[in-house]
Amino acid sequence: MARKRSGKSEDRKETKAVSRRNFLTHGAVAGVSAAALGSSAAETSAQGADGIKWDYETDVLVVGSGASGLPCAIRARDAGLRVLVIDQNFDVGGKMLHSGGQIALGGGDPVQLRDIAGQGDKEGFIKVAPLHKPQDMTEDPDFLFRDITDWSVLNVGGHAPYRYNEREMHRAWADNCYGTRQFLMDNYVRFSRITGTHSTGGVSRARRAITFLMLGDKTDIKAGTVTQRDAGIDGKSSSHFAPRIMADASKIVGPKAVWNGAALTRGLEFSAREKGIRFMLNRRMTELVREQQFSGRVLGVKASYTPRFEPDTGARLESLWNNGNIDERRATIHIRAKMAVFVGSGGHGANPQFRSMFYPAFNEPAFVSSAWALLGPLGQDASGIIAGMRIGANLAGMQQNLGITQSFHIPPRLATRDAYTDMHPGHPTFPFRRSTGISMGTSSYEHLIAVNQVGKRFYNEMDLAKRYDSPVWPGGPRNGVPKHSLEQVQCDWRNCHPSWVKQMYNSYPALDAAVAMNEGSQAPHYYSGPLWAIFDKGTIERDAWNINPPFTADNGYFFSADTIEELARKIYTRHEFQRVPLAHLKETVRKWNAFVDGGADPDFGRGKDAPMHKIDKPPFYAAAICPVWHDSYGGLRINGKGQVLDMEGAAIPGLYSGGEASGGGNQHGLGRALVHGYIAGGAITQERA
Amino acid sequence: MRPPEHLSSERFVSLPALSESEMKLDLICTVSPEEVDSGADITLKFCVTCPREWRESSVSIRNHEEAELVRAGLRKSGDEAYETDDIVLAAPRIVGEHVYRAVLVVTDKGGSAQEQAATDVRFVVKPHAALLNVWDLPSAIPAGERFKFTVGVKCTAGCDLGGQPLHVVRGDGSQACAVSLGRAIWPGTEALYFAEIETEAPASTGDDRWEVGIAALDCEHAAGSVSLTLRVVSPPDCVVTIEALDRETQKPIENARVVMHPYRAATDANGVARLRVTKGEYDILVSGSKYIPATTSVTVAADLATRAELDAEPPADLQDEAW
Repeated sequence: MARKRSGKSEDRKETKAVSRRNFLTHGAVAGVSAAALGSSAAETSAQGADGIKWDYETDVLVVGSGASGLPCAIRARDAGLRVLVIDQNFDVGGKMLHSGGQIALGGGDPVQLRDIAGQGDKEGFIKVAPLHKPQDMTEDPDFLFRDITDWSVLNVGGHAPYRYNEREMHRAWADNCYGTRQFLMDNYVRFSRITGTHSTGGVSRARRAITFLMLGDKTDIKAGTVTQRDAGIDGKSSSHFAPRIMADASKIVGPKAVWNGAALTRGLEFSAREKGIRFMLNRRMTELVREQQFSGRVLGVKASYTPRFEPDTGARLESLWNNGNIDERRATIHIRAKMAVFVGSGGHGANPQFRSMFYPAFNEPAFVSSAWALLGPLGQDASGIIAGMRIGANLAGMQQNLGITQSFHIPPRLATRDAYTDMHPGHPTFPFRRSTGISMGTSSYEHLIAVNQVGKRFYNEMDLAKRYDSPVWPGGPRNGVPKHSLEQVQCDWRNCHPSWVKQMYNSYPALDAAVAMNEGSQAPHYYSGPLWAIFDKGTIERDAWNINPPFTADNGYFFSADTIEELARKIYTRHEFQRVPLAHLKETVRKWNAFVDGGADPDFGRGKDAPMHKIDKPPFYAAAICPVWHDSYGGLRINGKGQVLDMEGAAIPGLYSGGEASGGGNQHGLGRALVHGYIAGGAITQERA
Repeated sequence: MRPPEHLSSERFVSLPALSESEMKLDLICTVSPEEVDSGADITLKFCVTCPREWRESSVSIRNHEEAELVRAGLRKSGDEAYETDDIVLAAPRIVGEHVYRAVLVVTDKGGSAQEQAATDVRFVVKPHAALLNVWDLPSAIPAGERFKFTVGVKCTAGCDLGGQPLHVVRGDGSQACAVSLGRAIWPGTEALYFAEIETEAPASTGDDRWEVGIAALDCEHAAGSVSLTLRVVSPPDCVVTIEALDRETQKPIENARVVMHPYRAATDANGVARLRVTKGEYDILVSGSKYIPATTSVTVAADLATRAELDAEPPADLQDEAW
C-alpha cells in the first residue's frame, strides 16, 4: 500500500458508499423507461450475441464527457443518432472544466479569418481590435500540417515535439480545424481574438483563441452571460459553474468579458443537453465488450457505479444541470452501443503505475494529476487505455510524455495536493482539497528553502517553478526557434543544428532532482516522498504571503510550529505520505542560515540571482510542494478517422478514441482533444448500425 | 508498507499456562513515542490475534505497583483479530525508564473472566528540552556599536518560561548582558517565550561566536543553549542609496529587498533604501514581490546613489499556468 496510513481517504469512503447502495437492483430504475429516455438512448433487456445481458442500448456510447467526448457526442447527435455519454465523475466536463479554455487550431480557421478581416463576433461582445497582423494569421491546412509534423523544430530542452507526430492523424487534424472551430461556435462557444499560439500548436502562425462569457445579471448560455457569482469572486470563491475563477478577458475580448474552460464546457454541455443527449454520470467504464477478445466488433461496455460523496455531510455530489441525466445506481451494468463506442476517458497522469512506464522515478503516489479534486480518485486513471489494451488495441506515442515540460512539472503553488490550479470554496469538490494553495510568483521562491522527505535541500529553489515555452508562435530563442515570427522557416535543418541547440538549450532538472531517490527511499518502490517548502514569519512579512484559510487548511499540507524540531515532527506525524522522519531538517536550516550569513550557497548556487534570507523568525512554516503530472501523451493508437487500431494496424470495428486517451500526437490540450472528438463524431455517423 | 518508525516498537510477553485450553495469546503493544517528555501524552495501542469468540475483552494497564491506570475494551478488527483504540496516557513526571504492565482480560462465552496474556509496556521519560532560537540579528554589526536581537525559548512540553533568566556569553567567555524572558508569548506561536536583547558589539572586527542559554529549571527541565555568530565589521564609511522602480511604470517599489552582502535593507514607501557600508566592491541584489530580481556590480569609494529598475513578473493570465 502506497499511502502511509489509510486516513480519511476519499477512495475508501466511495467504496463503502457503493456497497451501501448495492441493494439497488433493476427494479430501482424501473422509472427509467424507454419512453423516459426519449429518442436518445433506450433501456433494453435484449440479450447480446455473446450472452451478455445488456441493460441499456444506444447508437453511440461516449465514454467521458470531456474535451473529446462532448464534441463527438454532439456531432453524432446532430446526425440524428441516439447518444449516451457516461462519465465516472458526478458532473460533466472532465478536465476541460478546470482548463484555461485556450484552443489553438489554425490552418485558416474561422476565428483566424474573422480577425484577419478585422471583424468582430456576431453577438458584438468583442470590442478590442485584432491582436495580430493579418499575415501573422494567414495560412492553410497544408501549412498547418507541415508545422505540426515539422521534424526540425526542438524545444529548449532539446526535445522534438512535432517530429514524432503520426502523419495520418495530423493530416486529419489540420483538415478539421476549420470545421471544429465553426462547430464550437455553433454550440454556444465564444472565442476571443487570436492571441499567440497555445503550447505545441505549431510555430509559424498565431492560432490560439480563448473561450469567454460576458458578466451579466444572470447566467444564460444562450445569451452568453454569466453572473459574477458563477464566474467566481477573485480571491474568495469559485462556483459549481466554474471550479476555477474566470479571469478578466478585457484585453482579448473587451470590458466585462471573463475567460476560462467553464465558458467552453458549459457552452458545450448546454448544447448537448438541449439537443437531447443523455448523460449517465457516476458511471465508469471498466471493460470494453468485443465479440471475441481480440477480434470482431466492439459491442458495448461494462460500467460500474462510482458516486462521490461530500466528505463532511456524506451527501452524494450532483451535477450542476440534470436535464437528460439518467440516475442509474446499479453497481454494474452493460451498455450496448449499436454503432460505436468512443473512448474519451482522458489520460493516465493520475495512475502512478501507468506513468511509471514513462518516468519510473515519478511513481510517488503522493503526487497526482491536475484537477485531482474535481475529477476524484478515478480521474485520469488510464482506464480507457487499459480497457483498449485488453481487447487488442495498439498504443502510440509512448515516448512523447518526455517531449514537453507540461507533462510533469512543479506548479507555482504550495500547501495543496491539487497544486495545478487554485480552486476556491464554492465548488462541490473543494472539500476534497480544503486549501486553495499559496500561489507563487517566481520571485517568491527566494523566501523559502525546499526539502525532500528526509529534510534535505535538493535543488536551487529559484529554479523550481521555472518553465520554458514550447516551440510556438512567435518563436525566437525563448521558444527554441532561431527565427522570429514570419521569418521562421519550416523543416529547416538550421532549426536543430548543434550550434543553435547549444545557444538555446535550457533544461528543467529541478523536477528530476525533486523525484530523485534519497535516504528515505526504500525498496522496492524507492518512493522519493513528499517535498516541503520551509519558511518563516520573515517570509510572510517580506513577501506578503496569504497563509490564512482558504489558502491553507489543517489538511496535512500546511503546518506551523514554534520550532523547526516541532515542525519536522508535525509533518512526520500528520502528513499522509510522509513515511520517514525529516531527520535532516534542523541541520539543513542551520546550514542554510550559515550560507545566508556567508552570502553564498555552495550546495546549490543560490545567492547569485536573488537575495537569500535566513529562516529564523518564528513561527516556522512548512507547505507541501506537489509536482503534478498534467498532460498525458501516449495512449490508444488511432487513425485519421479516430478509429482505434489493433496490433496489425487494422481498425477495431466500432471503437473510436481521441484526446488524452489516444496517443501519437504531442500537441497539448484542448486543440488536440476537441478536433479528435469532432472527427470521430463525424466518422461514427458513417458506421452501419 | 512499513509503519512509521515511531510506531514500530512491538513487544510482547506471553504469560505461561494462563488458559485452561492451553491457548497462548500474543498481546502486542505499540508505544508512541518511545521517548516522551515528562508529563506529556503517550499513546498506546494493543492488538491480539485469537481464533476464539469472546463475549468481552479488555486490556488493563497497570503501573509498577500493579495499580490499574486505565482499562480499554478490545473490538474486532478483522478475522480473529482484536484491537483497542488509541489509549492516551500522561507520562509520569519522573525522568527515566518506566515499565507498565498490560494484561489481557477476557470474559468467555461462559461468563468467566481470565487474564489471558500480558506484556510489558516500556518507555523512557525525558526531561523537557529547551529549544532556543535567535532572530533579527543584524547581518553586519559595526565594531563597538550597540545592536539588538531577539531570543526565543520553547519548552518542548510547552511549559511557562516567563521570567526565566538567560545568559548571553561572548566569544571570549565573558557575560555580555543579563536578561530574562518576558511573560508574553511570541505572536503566532503556542508557547515561545522571548527576550529582546540589546548589547554592545565587540571592539574588534571579524566573526565572534556567542552563546545564549537557559539553565535547567528543575529535574524535569533540561538546560538549553544556542550559538550565534556575529559578523563584526569596521564602522561604515559610505552611504549607498538605492531606488527601486518598476521599469515600465517608473513607480517606486516599496519593501523591495536590497542585499549588498553582508549588508541588507528594505526600501521605504518611496522605493528608497540606504545602506551604510564600508568601501569596496559589491554585487547589489534587488528583489521585490512579483518582480524579477536584478543584480548589478558596483565599486563603492564614496557615497553613491543608484537606481534599480525591475521588470514585473509576467501577468498570471495567459501564462503557461492556465493551460
